[in-house]
Amino acid sequence: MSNKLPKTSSDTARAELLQNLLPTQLLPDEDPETYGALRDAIFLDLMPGTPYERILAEQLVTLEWEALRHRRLRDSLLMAEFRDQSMGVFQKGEVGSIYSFQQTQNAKDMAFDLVSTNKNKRTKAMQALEVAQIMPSEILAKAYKTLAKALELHERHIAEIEARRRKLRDDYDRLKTTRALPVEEAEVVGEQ
Amino acid sequence: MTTQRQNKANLANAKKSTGPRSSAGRSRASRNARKHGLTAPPLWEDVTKWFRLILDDPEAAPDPMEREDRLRAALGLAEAEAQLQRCNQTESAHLLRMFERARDGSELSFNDTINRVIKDPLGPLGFEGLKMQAERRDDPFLRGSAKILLRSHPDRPAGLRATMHSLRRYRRSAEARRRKALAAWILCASQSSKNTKRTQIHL
Repeated sequence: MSNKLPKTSSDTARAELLQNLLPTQLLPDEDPETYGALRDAIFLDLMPGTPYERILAEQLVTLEWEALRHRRLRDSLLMAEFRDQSMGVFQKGEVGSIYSFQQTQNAKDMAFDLVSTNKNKRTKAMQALEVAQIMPSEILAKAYKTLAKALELHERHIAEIEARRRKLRDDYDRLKTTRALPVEEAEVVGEQ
Repeated sequence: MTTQRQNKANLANAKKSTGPRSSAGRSRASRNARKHGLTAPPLWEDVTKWFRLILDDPEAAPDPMEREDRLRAALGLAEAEAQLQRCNQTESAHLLRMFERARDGSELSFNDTINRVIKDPLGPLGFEGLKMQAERRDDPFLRGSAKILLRSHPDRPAGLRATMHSLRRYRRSAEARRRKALAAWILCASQSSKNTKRTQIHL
């Protein structure tokens, strides 16, 4: 026997109501599949029961996504600065960025390899760093120092989003406690 | 100080122009100072959608004169949610606009700029066209005019950031309002669930 119950007109009306109110606009470079996976994980944790709880859960997903977006932007900035600062190591033997018109192709390639997703290229670039007796943490520290102001903006946004998320989660939990949970196999034995 | 003669002249001139007369013109002029509309009350249609959703009743109709506490709390929450939704939508649309501007704004070549301005002279690239005129025009008058227009262009990076800052302020205040309305709704919902007839269950 199928578990699916036939849809009533009120179910359709509810679905229509929800359809217009479920937002979240992804930026063109964002992956809808990653968003979907995050959404599924949060929904599994929250288990929204009513349409309004579902909307609040969606808003929590949006906030998590926004925080992830800022973390991603912060990491990308740091990665780009790390790459630029490492170019000096491969060209002059000291940490520091090089003007674009002074960059040699070899130093540029090595700097890009250092942050590449290709493991072999990255290992080779790391070995070159070891030969120059420069620790990656030294480059990272310089990158942090250079980007302090730009990173602060993202950190501030992440902290703000985190506070909003906590508040919304509190509200969601309080809302959920007001609703009696249905016990499917319960049997009415008497009335008070 | 204004002389009597000037006053008379001002009054006479004012009589010549009395503003828009048709209802369409008046309606248009009434929106002259409108910037984003985020301070206006939300649309009743949106409030109704939220009201139905909060009560989980697709046919419920909100009534501004409602006396029952529970329904009044639901209406308050519906209004706060509709307002917050509008703020969120405006903010994400603006973020998208900033993203588009950051992606192809300052890196356009001279030929790309010319082509895109010719293709869509009143489009978002109007800013790029102005920038190009301010940098490359030989005529000092035209160059100066382009610079003035650039400074007040809504698509300049500082302008976009300032708008985003103001939109976030509206969103924060809408969130605070929603939080209050939700607290009132939770109070009413928990009271009504206490008042309902309890039945004993046996598992």
